[in-house]
Amino acid sequence: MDTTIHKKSKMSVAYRQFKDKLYHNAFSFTQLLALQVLGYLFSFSANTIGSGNDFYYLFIRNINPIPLFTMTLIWILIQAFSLSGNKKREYYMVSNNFTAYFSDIAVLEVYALIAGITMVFSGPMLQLLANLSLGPFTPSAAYQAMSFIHYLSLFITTTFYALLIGAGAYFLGILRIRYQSFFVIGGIVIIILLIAWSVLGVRFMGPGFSIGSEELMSFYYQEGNVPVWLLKVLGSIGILYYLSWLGIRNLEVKN
Amino acid sequence: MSAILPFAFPLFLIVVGIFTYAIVKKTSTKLSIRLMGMYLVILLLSPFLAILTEDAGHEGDGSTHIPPNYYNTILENYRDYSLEDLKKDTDLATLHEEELSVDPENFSKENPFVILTMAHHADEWSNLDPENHLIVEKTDAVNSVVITQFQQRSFIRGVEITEQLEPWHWPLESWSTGNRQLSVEVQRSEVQLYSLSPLLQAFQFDAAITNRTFAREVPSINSGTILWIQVPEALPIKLQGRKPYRILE
Repeated sequence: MDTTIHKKSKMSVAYRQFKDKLYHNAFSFTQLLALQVLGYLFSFSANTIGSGNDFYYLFIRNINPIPLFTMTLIWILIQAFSLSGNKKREYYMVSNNFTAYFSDIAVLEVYALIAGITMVFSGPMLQLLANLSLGPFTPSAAYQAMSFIHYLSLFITTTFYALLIGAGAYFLGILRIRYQSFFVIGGIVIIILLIAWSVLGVRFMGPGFSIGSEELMSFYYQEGNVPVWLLKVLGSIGILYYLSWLGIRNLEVKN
Repeated sequence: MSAILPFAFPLFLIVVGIFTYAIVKKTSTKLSIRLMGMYLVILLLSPFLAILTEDAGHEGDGSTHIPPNYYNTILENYRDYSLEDLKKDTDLATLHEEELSVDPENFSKENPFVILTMAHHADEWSNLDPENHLIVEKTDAVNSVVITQFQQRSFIRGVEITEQLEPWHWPLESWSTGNRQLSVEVQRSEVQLYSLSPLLQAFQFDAAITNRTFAREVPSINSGTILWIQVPEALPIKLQGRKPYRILE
């Protein structure tokens, strides 16, 4: 249905809103820069392995981009949470919950793409920084083994993981603005339920039972089959988007 | 100072980041977009810049064409070389040169100057022959004991680490019997190397490579030491420790 005042379709309003949000939230790029700089710093002091004998002891300080990746995910988490809570702009007078939702998701997708691009270039960037600031430095065998396909895989997986984290944070953000104080109580209840589930699981299913972030991550992270992985990731993102839509569709916007 | 260096550039970036954060928060979104644009340009150029700056991060000329266990080849043909030849050999680095004042008149056949060496242990990295590492040269060219330690220029994954190798010490000990003994104290070298790993998810759909490339391997050091000891011709010596020695007379 078109808006009666501006004779614009919903999609057209959503698109304008998307562009407007992207522009007015440009400060998020500076936040990304700051977080990624921190990520680069932490990547340089990741971990050290060593081995030796009577003659040599070899310390290999591993520059690992995992902290950088984590910082990037934290950034998208902050943005998604912030976008879901920010419904106070004037242009919302010509918008509705659909356009707000649609534009938020579109902005998050752009952010996820940016996250993917920055992660693809994280390796060369770390290599450049290492060349400029370190002494003896060598890429690992794994880094040297990276081909175009691996870089493509890195871009796709990172972008989708960013989307997934963004979708989850956005859903939580919607719950927060919808239920406000109940959100905090609900969070506490969920944590208690999870702990109870873990305790009962171990009690009745044996010590092998466990539930935690590692198990959740391995559900996606250790899936090597592309179609199955896509199904898992896209399915999860779709469910989270749908739940977010259920949460926002009849939400009363408060200025 | 060298310990701070690895963090200097990221710290500098942090300061710049905080500075820009403070500036941009108070100014326009345009600056933020410009900063992001600049960052993306640097990221896009980073593969080329990394290649351009590659040599800056490496010590030496990066040559890795030294045959494995090159020092052993020298030991096998030790009669073809002189001490000066080895000093000129660019595949070897002179780690240490030491002159010990020893008066031959204080020694006799019954009370010789003892040279005790500790052999290399079998070494999984460099596959060193555990015994062929010492050349003793009796010569009139010296009036005292001269010890020269050569190190085959050593690399790990193409990065030269020769300068990080510690020269060995040669304390001269006196026995209660009056004998004097030259023995070696091996200094364990602590070699530091920075290695760059990729994000694991780059290999998420390549299970065959994941296990192989992410194994925590210890890279091999193509390394080896030659000890060349010159003693005056008139000095009676006795060699103790593991054999064989290479003796030039």
